[in-house]
Amino acid sequence: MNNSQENNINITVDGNEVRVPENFTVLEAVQKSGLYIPRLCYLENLKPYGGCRLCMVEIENMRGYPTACTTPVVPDMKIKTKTRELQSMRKEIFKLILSEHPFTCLVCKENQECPEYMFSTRKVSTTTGCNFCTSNGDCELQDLVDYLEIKEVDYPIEYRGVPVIHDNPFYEIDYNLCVLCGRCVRICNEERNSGVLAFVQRGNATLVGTAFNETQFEAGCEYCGACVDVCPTGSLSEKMGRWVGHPDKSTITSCPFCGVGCTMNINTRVDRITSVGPEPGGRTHPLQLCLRGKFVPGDIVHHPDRIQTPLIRKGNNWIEVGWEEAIEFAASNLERYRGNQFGMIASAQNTMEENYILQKFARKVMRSNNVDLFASYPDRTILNTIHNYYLNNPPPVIESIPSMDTILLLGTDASVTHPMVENRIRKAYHNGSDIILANTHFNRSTAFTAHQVNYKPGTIVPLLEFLSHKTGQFKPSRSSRKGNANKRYYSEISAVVKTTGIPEKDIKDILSVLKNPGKLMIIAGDGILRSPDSSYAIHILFSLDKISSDKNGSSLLFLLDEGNRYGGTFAGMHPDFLPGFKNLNDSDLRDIWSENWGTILSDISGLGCNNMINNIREDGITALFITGDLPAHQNLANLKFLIQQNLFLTETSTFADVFFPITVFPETAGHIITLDRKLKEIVPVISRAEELNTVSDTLSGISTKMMDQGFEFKHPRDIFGEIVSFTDITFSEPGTSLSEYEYPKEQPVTRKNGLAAKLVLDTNGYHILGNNLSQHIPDMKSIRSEGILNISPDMIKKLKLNDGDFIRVHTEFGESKLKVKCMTELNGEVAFFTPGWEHLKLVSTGLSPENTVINAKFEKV
Amino acid sequence: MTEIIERIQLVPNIHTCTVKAPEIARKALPGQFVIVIPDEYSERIPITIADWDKKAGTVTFVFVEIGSSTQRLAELNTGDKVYSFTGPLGKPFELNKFGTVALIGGCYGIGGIYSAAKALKKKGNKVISYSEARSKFLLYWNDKLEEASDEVRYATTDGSEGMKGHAWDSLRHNLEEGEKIDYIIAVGCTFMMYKIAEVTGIFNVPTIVSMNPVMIDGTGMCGACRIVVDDQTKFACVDGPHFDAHKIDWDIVMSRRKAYFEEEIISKER
Amino acid sequence: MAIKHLYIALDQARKFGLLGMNILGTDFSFDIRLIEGAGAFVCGEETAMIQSIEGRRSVPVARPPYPVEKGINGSPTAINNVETWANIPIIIREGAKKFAKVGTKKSTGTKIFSLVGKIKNTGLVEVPMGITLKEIVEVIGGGPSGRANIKAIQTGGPSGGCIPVDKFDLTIDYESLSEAGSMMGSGGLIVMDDHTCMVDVVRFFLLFTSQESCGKCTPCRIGTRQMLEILNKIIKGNGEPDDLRKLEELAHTVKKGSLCGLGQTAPNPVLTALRYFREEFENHVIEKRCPATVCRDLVEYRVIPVKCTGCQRCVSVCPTGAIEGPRAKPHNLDPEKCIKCRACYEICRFDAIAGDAIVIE
Repeated sequence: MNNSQENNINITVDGNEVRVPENFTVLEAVQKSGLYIPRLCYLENLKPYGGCRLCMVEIENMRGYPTACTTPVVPDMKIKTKTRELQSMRKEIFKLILSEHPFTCLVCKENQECPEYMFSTRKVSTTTGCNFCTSNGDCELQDLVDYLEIKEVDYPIEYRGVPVIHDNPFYEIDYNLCVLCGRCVRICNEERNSGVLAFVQRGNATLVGTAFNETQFEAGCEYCGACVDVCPTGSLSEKMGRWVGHPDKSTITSCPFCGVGCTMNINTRVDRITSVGPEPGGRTHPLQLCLRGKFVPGDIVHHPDRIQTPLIRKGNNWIEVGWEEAIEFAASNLERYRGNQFGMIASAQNTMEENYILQKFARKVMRSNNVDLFASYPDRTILNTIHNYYLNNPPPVIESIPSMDTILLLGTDASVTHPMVENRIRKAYHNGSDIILANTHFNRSTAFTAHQVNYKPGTIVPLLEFLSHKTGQFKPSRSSRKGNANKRYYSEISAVVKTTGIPEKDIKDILSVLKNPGKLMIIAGDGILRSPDSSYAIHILFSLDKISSDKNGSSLLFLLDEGNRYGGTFAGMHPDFLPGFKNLNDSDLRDIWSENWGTILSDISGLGCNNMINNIREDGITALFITGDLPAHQNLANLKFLIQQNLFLTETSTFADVFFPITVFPETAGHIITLDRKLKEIVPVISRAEELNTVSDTLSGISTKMMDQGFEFKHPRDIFGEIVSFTDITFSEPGTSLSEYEYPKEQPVTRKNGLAAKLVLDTNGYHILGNNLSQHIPDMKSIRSEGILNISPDMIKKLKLNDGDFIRVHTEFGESKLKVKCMTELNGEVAFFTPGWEHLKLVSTGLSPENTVINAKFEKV
Repeated sequence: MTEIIERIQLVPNIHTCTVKAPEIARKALPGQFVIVIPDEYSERIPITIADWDKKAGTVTFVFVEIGSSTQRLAELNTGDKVYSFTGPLGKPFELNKFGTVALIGGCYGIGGIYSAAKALKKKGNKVISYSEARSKFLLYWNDKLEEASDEVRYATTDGSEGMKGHAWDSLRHNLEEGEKIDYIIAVGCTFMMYKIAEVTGIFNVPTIVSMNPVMIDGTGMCGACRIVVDDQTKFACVDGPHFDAHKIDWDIVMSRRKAYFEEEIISKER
Repeated sequence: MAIKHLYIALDQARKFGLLGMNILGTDFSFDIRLIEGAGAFVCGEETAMIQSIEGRRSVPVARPPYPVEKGINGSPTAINNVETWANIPIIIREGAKKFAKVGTKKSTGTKIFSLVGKIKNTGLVEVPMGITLKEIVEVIGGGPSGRANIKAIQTGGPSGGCIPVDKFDLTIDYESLSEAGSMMGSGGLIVMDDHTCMVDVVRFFLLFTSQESCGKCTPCRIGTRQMLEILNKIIKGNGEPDDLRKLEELAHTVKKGSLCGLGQTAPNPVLTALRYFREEFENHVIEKRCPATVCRDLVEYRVIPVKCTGCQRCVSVCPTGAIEGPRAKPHNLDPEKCIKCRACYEICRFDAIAGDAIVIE
């Protein structure tokens, strides 16, 4: 906000002169001057509503009682906020508001004494009084009763008697308590652009609801929780933490789920999370989050299945042991598995500090470079390529998305994978931005795009080649142009149309936008990052990034998955790169790090995640150290030693020899690097249970037992200090220049073996440290359709199927029987699938798919 | 396993349930209670018997959905079986000819005073029932009470039905006007019974309250339901659940109800 | 039917080249598009109308921005009633001075009213501003249609107020009407006689406005209904002495607190009725009596034996057979069967049927 002198004006509030920006409303101006005006329907940053009428004021030369929230200030305005008449009007209006709400407890003269005798009565199914209400103590009606000194209400309660909705995932809805302030409707429509909630009926029968009386889920609710955050009463209440009571502390931290790293506020009471959401009193300006950030942390941290003590396996059973014993056991066993037979797999949701010491342990103590993040990108080089590019071309921050003129959105289902990026794209759309979406199928984002094209699975590269060639940017390397033989280089539109299946007109439309895009942002997701020719594709994107005539007018952003993919890799959890993306194969760099750690690092290149799994045998990988969870691959049974540190006992744990409990992000301090390369802090909001060691504590214990040093960190900031001292975390060093790209040799045509159909995979799982959220949180399971094969209407017709039927799916990896559902956004012989862990052998030989598109065959059972 | 004949929701949170329990129906007396275990993992819930039919062999009770066990009970329907249904427990009301009897019921207590109303009227008493709730939409069994009593006086905190205020305000008003009441029974939430005791203490009317402390076995073994009456420890399950309201140590009652708050929360979250 | 005719008229105009591109061969292009709403009263409010035209839920929106700056789809919009637009060509053609010759100084020109109620001549009338109510009722309306005397006139429909007969020398113009507590409004003129119960009339209007309320702002949404509840209580005979004070207070709250014209004017019938006909309200509340014998719960009919000639006219119209009696002998009315439809009352030429207040405890 520009606060220069010219933009401020003088006004008088209750006799005092105040200087406020000229675009303020009276309400904002009065609040800025430190005064309080009662209000109910007000939300910061949204268009004023003016429905509750409580904020009325007296303004000189304006007749009647204008509402402060809707009236803009003008120079020399004279405002009175608290006259007798105003208070009396506000009281009367508020009493009317209360008459639609079970208000008896609010004004009962015994409401201080009664709770002493009714202490355990909060847990009813329907709220009929303050004592039963989850918002008791955090209710704006209670605040207003106090401020307006309401002692009694003349009207009887007009109880609506609508059924309470208990079975909505994550939050309950009781419209009997609703005061029709409209905040939920406005935030859903104007801030989130989800359009799920609206006012239905009119007059006295007005209620908040969905179109055609659908359930929230059917209406397209994305469970972002924004409505719950702004509700002033107990009408919308979160299920988790509702019985715990009023929070006594609020802590700001960052979200580690998807890579956007949203700032979140977590409310706690003693050592329990009560909610992720606005601090008490902050409901008019909540931080915006998505489903995972808002509703998962509390459920996970206080999950009843969380393991609290270390376990050692004895036969088929787990024995609870103390930390000393478990560490001794782990250390003594690990002694035998030093060297290349050892592998370390961690999660891209672990903090940088955790990943740093884990890979340091593997390389220094275990003398192995087999370190990797679970589900890392199939092309091992691309994160480094992207990192280098970013050093020379800093990525845009996601806050700049709404101000773009053109956005090219490629290969992503962002509303599911990175909701807060997509939220900003929706705002860009409403700001007039030209949005182009290219994906294998239409998705929620389609509603906000001007141009949308579906390309046949696996054919995004031809489209990109064509676009970048026609906009004059792309030049394949000389060596590849010579001797042609390159049937794949797409310079003719007809070839693109034939290969991708996109109509010629659509391609031309996109091209015309890209010829004059203004401020352009290219956003690319897994459709690029996890495709077989990902490296080539991103090089094309690098050249597309130069389209805008003003160099600063275009930017490129990659939607990296999982909260700390960038940071974890930067911290060294990668088979090819030491911390800071330093190439392991470079002996000089290796020497530097050997010195940093006081050791001699192995020069043998590490194995990636899937390679480790596929090389488990006597002369290959014999021991693994897993942080978090991963699919229970059958090869794990052949390990000689497996350590797992995780939140829960999972199927993988059945192969483990020792199990350590682990802290999760609200209990740890640390850092993550977001996908737009911001360094964000993870702040502990509750103290970890006394018994729980951090990853650092565990490793410190083990390494000491193994007679090694370098792990005696007292606090994560010491680890971070070490990282900072050895790497350039300011990203100020220039990246290496990317030489002209060598066009890849002609790829051998994969023998399809009659696998003519395409299976498009959803590669963004919903996890916490690898643990599948749907498995541990029932409400998550009800809204994620994992394991269902979504097939196109064409295939439904061809195979004569109904929703819920089973078909047999053959892929190059295996076969399985899957339940089907029709997905109208798909075309041709295409299916879309979110694999659960149990479907791994259908989509990969390793622990995660190497490609977003695999060949398949579907047949009726 | 006891079969449910019918379970209906009367008003928000309050349900009535009729089960087939011929032996209990044969022996039940006004003021006694049963211990219900909805399913294997539920708690033992003590609930006052509201009505019974000796011939049909059924017992009816009114309960509030106020925790995880009662929530499970509220999900059961005709034909479902309740894991355990034990009774009749506790000492019944003293049923004498007192003269004019005032019965005060609030919340689940409205069901609780119903059988007493019928029985006391039969004994020749003039029965005045006070039915209270926060608002009109929370009152239930109006017609039943009106049939069972000589007069029903309603009290709602918001004034939507009857007198505006609480039952104890209404009672105090009547006593101040000089109305002669010989005996009072109050069944309802602890706070209401405490306030009634306060009012009637001033006017010295004998008052019996039906206590509802934390209870576990219900047969006098565990001592969880103890109440201090006249400086002596009594068990609500066998010595009660009815006690002289003016002799109860209400402070101890208050503190004991909070005892398992943490656990109740965890159980609801599961 | 109006819409049908409009379509025909627009069609004809286009055929004649008076609408559309290049009107009559000039550079000027202009067209008219008809958009049909669903008939909600609140859509008459200008910002609500804009919402409705844009396809949204039609609730009034905060101003600024005003429609003339930013209206439909963001374009400057001028919103007026058809009657206003219809006056424009006359002003342009004849000149402002000539137009202003008719009417009063501040309210110029003519006004169209819908004259209905208990008068002989009903229909649409166009009168110059400044004409008195008396003239409209007696000269144009032709005086009372029934036996009863005229009691009041309601102007402005549900947003207006009732003006009692002793104020009929009031001139019709914007200022005088609002000073009297009423308003011009939609141009309705409802004439009422002694058989119209003012409490019932007010209740009727409040029923309308509370149903038509859009529901956005609290004073109108809840306030109109609470006022209606009080009035319902009163006509059933359950009125309490404090009710009139509560009603008046509510009316002021709704009037001053509402977001748009619907809410701001909905209390007008209440306020004017209380101002001019307070006694009638007090009859209902305190004596539990309806002087106009309209409120069914407060009236009981009976035959006055001395006046009854036994002509049997009432017997033939009574739908339930509550009145009976032999020819030429005084008849008998059985209150149990009586549904208080007043058919007998209306038809009796001898004033032999009386409506008394029922005394309710």
